[in-house]
Amino acid sequence: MKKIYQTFIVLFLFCSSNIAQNNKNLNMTMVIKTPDMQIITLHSKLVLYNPVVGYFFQPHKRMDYQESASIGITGFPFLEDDMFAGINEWISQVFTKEQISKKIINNTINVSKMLSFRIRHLPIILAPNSLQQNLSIKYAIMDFVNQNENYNNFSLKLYYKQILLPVGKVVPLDFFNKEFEGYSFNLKLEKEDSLAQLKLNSKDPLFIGIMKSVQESKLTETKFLFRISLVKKKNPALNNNYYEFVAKYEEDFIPSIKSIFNSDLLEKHDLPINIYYSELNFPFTLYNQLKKQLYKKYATYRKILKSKCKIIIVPISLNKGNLLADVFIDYKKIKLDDNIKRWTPIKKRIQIPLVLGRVSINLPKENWSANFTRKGEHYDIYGYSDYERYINEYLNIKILNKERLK
Amino acid sequence: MKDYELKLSQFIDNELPADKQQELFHFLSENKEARKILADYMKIKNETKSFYKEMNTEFDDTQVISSRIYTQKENERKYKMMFYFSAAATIVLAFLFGSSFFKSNISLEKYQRLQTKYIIMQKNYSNVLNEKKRLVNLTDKFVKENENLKTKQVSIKHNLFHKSYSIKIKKKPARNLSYKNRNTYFANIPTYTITKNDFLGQQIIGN
Repeated sequence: MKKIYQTFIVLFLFCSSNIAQNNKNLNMTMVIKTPDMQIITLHSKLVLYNPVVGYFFQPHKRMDYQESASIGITGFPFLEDDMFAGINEWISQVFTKEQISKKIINNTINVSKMLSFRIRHLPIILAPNSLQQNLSIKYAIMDFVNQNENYNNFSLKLYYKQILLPVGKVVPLDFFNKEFEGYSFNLKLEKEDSLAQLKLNSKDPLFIGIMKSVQESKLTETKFLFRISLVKKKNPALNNNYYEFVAKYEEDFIPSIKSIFNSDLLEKHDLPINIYYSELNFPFTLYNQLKKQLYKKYATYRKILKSKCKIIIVPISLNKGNLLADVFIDYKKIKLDDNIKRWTPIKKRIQIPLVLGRVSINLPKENWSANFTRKGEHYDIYGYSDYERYINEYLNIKILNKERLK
Repeated sequence: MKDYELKLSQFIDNELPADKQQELFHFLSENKEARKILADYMKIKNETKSFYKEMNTEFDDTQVISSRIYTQKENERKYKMMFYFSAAATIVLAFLFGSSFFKSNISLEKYQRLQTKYIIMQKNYSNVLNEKKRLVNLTDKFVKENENLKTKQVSIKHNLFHKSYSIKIKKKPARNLSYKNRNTYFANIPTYTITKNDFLGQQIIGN
């Protein structure tokens, strides 16, 4: 009898350990790239059995204020387990009553195709490869055939997918890519403890600035959900006084961190509050067409002409319906890794009225230059004359949970 | 083998009949070689006998029994182990099968329940739609009657002046409130500009 118990316990432990390996909470990052190389990053926690819902609009014309993707509210309640797709007429009735339809109407007619998805993390019992995660995806695609006429004229498709994904690898979601031509949807799952890490030298003015703000902060408990977007518009002075929208790089639910990695002491510096850290990576565009044509032929062009913008938000206090926060911006326009400082980090104190829930920061036009040779290819880039004068850049910050903070 | 050798061998083993023995003895008295072979056979037999006499062929019963018990126990243990494993595997399989069966039953029940709910909802919905259509028709009818009445009233009034015309009530276009609100919303968003004081450290220029 003893042996039976022992054997059963061993088998039970084996099974449960296998399940447990798959039961850990995960961080999910979905990156959507548009044909004109704009980037939307969506973050979400993936808890076992708890569904993550979200949507994406394919706009006719991209507008800087339009939310084209988000994790949260979806327009299709039949994506829930309890609801089944049925008669089109019934679905359309449900659809028009829901928030998304209102959103489309409020944002004027600018949507040609819409995706609504629900992702559910399920366990794998006795998995062949315990590093893989089991995701059940239910999604609907609404195609507005002729949106100029009528928003009731659309076709709707509903799909179910069961996929096994490895942890720590970027996986293209081909079934979404197929539906949205030219767009790319990538999904990455990471363990909850492998959050974004901010590495700074203790003598770095950014580190000193952040530490000052952290000491000043009184918000030890409050959690915020931020969306940030870096928007580029053509300089109206060179574009017939017209602010023409160029690009938007957006990140939803930017991750919160509670420590900074001290790169000179090689140790973690714990913080008493949550700070919010995002790193936007996007291509750099040269507006001096002659140089652009010349450098485009270079083999190193794509590797070097890449921008990286680190954004750190330190909430300071919540008072009278306003959030006081310090925003740190460390923007590197091109990737050179030569330890020459070309761009100055910024600290801006902002006040976000919770009624509006957002602010905008006009980014400065810096006078920088980069003259260098890489693998025998010589570049002469003058920041202001080749880029800055053509473009106005803005950093928009939005609080997504403003209702809870009021 | 020679013919007499077989007879000699039978004689040694006491298998040769008595009448044949007489013949054999007669033959032996005349043949020296045969006598020598007989002597050899006798010698072999005696040596074999003495060898088996020295050999202890008795087994100790307790030893045999214990060895048998030992192997039996070994087998039993093996069978027990195999039984335990198979029992455990059966329990696990039964558990997995049972849970999946139970789950599928639950989901089937849930599906049926929802299906029924869905059908009821569909019916309700179609009823509501019919009711809505009826109400819309009634409203249309009422609006038309009202319009006719107004037109008649106006024409009666104007008939006094020998003039008649009908009134067309123009629908006011719905105001795009959301658009207006959105513009106000965007106009109120605080916008910050970076000043020299916002740079961390001295601003880097021209590097």
